[in-house]
Amino acid sequence: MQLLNDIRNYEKLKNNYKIYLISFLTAFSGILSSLDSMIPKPIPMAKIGIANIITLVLILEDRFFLAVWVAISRCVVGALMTGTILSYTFLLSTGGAVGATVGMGLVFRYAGKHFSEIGISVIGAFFNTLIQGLIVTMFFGIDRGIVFLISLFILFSVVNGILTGFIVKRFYHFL
Amino acid sequence: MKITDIIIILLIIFLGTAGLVYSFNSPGGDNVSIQTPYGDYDYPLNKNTLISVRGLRGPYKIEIKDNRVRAIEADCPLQLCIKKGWINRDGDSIVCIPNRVIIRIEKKGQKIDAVTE
Repeated sequence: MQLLNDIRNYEKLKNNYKIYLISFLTAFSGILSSLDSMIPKPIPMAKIGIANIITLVLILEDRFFLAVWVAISRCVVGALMTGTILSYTFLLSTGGAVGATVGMGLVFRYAGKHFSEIGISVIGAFFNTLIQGLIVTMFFGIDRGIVFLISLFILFSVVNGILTGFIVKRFYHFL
Repeated sequence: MKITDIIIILLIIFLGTAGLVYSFNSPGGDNVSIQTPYGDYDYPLNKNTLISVRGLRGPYKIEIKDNRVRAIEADCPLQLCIKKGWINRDGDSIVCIPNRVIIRIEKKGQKIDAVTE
């Protein structure tokens, strides 16, 4: 409950405390992201995207810039830890995370009252996959195989988005 | 869960399925590109030919027939490239690692220049 209160009263916090909050959220989503990579999945490159939970909560509290900030720093810290910084993997994960955050933020800002948590989460997962597909297309050109892979991941992302949405809906008030 | 959620989920599922259907039914390529350690070659897909190139371990024979391609003779231990059989769609490929031979079907004007390693 304390964390949710801090997010809600972000402007009133002391400057020191703002930095604590951002680093806590970054560390939290980093832990969730590394937990995510331990779960066995049917497709090797896929992720369930539980790290998206933090971003989704921030978006639902209407803290758009905080969400973008946390998403970028989570990707940079994760890439520094696994040693993949400035590689394709880093570009893909950062582009996907920022794309998902911007997409969810825009949808929440302009059509928020028509969607529940699950809808916004599904939109975020879809944007993540789409932006990653666009980045891959930018580097390697469009191909039948790439269209197949992106479509498969889009179908997979719907399941993941619904899952993440349910988790957020269930555990929102424990934060 | 609201009604717009269900609409957007159905829309995304439709988009994904459309992509899958497109990728399975997309028109085939017209160019067979063969990469070997001793040079790269291009052959049209619609002309029946028997091609003989040199791989790293010895001669390598490729057959183009009825808009399909296969490898018919290779000097490699597992013979995976021959077991792959016929390929006929754009983007399909046969790869023989011991011989360093890559056979790939592509459309003209869509070739990748180079890929860094």
